[in-house]
Amino acid sequence: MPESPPAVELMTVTVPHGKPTLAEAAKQLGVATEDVDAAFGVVPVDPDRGIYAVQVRADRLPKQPERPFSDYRGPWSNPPIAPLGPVQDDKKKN
Amino acid sequence: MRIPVILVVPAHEHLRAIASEAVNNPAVRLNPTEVPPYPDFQLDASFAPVPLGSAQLGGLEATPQQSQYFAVRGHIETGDDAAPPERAGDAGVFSDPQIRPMLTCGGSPPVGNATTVASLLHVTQVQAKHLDGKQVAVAIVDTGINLQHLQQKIGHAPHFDGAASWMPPGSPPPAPGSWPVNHGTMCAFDVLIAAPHAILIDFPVLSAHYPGGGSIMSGTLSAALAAYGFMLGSRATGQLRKYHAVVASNSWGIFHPTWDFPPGHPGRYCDNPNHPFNIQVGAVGRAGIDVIFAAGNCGAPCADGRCQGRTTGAIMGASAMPDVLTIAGCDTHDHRVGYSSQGPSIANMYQYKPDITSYTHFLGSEAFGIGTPDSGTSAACPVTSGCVAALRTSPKIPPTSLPPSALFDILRKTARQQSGPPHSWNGDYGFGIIDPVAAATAMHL
Repeated sequence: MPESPPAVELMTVTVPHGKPTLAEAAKQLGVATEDVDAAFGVVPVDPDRGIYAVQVRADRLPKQPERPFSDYRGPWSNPPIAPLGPVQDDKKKN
Repeated sequence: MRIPVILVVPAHEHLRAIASEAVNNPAVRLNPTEVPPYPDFQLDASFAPVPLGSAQLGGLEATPQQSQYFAVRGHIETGDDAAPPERAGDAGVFSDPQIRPMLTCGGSPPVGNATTVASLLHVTQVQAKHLDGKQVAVAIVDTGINLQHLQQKIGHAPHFDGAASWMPPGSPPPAPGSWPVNHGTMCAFDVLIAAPHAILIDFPVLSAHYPGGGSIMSGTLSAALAAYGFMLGSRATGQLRKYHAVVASNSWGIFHPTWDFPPGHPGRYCDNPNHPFNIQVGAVGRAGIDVIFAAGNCGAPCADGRCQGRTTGAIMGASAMPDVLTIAGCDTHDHRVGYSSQGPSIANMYQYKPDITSYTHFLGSEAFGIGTPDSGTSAACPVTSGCVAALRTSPKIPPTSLPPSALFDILRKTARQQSGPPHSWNGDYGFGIIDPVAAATAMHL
């Protein structure tokens, strides 16, 4: 059986100078570049405020920053999302 | 206790006269002093007598001239637990209960069709102002679009821009516009009701498969985050830059907080304005993209089973952000559908949601089979997105001079309120049912 991909967590980094590279985001998070999900990439969240999102291997995740205004945040919830129709009458969860 | 009743009374000249006059003058009033007295009952003078014929099945013709019996309305005062009498002199006493329109619920058949919706939105009048979606891109953020099905349903190929569409990563996905017929195709069809010349853009986030989540009919929020990141960049420097305006239609959400991190977790989504996706929709709006979201299907009394019976605070996540326009659903009789999520929103988010209401539960795309309705607030959302795209056709209101927040204000102010004072908010309809003609007029289009 093919190996399932490692679980990832959603994180954000804040940079003052435009969209960071994967390596720059990894460095800020304190993980290796290969621990950052390249398929997801570095996603603009609010470029005007320098906020970008990445997905990082959960088992390599840094500890929460001790400084209250550190340059990264997370993990953030990444819940399942579903279409709002047709309406299901049963009690089945998605 | 004052109890409303219907009295079935024998014919009387005054009743015949008033019933005859009421045919042409509905405002005619009964004079209670001119009919026989019914002790303990007060007759309602504003209710014109209704001829009942012989008041029996298959009886005489029920005309004012020939009828042997008439129905009149009245009230009786009784003790708290006392039942009304069965008769009042020669009159029969019948219940006059409160009635309400039958609610449209998940299993209800379609109520009207796409032509009905176009008529209610006065699309002909909107198009007479040259507001038809031309040069406006509408991103269908959903399961993916099937152009072949759309062409079969509308009789011609819709405008579509595959190059500006978003492609999920991973194993080669279908090309933009060639996804299986599903929810996204329904949404695309519904946009075209008010904006037939809009350019559809495919954003199949609900079919994306990132590590850690996703099924054929559900993705995870990170797919939407990635797609909107692409949209921001494309609007700034890429394929979306060439369009006069961009509208993003979102008929998706989460059904219950248990899908999310636990309450109080700083990374939670559903009630946290600081979640990256909730921050991102604000940035998208500031970039001039009109972001429209469905309110959800967790309304009482016909909530989707996935809501687990939770019908208060049911508008959550991005649908509860002030930067987006949040849409409730009504049927083509202007009645709220019984599953449309009601406001106020979940605690800690912007409370006055939904913003406005639009049409759903009509026969349209038949994406889920012949005879099935386009339903859920899922359909109401793209119907609204089509209206917004139509309005954005006008060169007088580019997003640079009328940002999304200002346009949404106008849509709220010009909506037709269904209960309560005009321009007031309520949890069922928000500020009322969308009125694109009124909005266009307010903007001098």
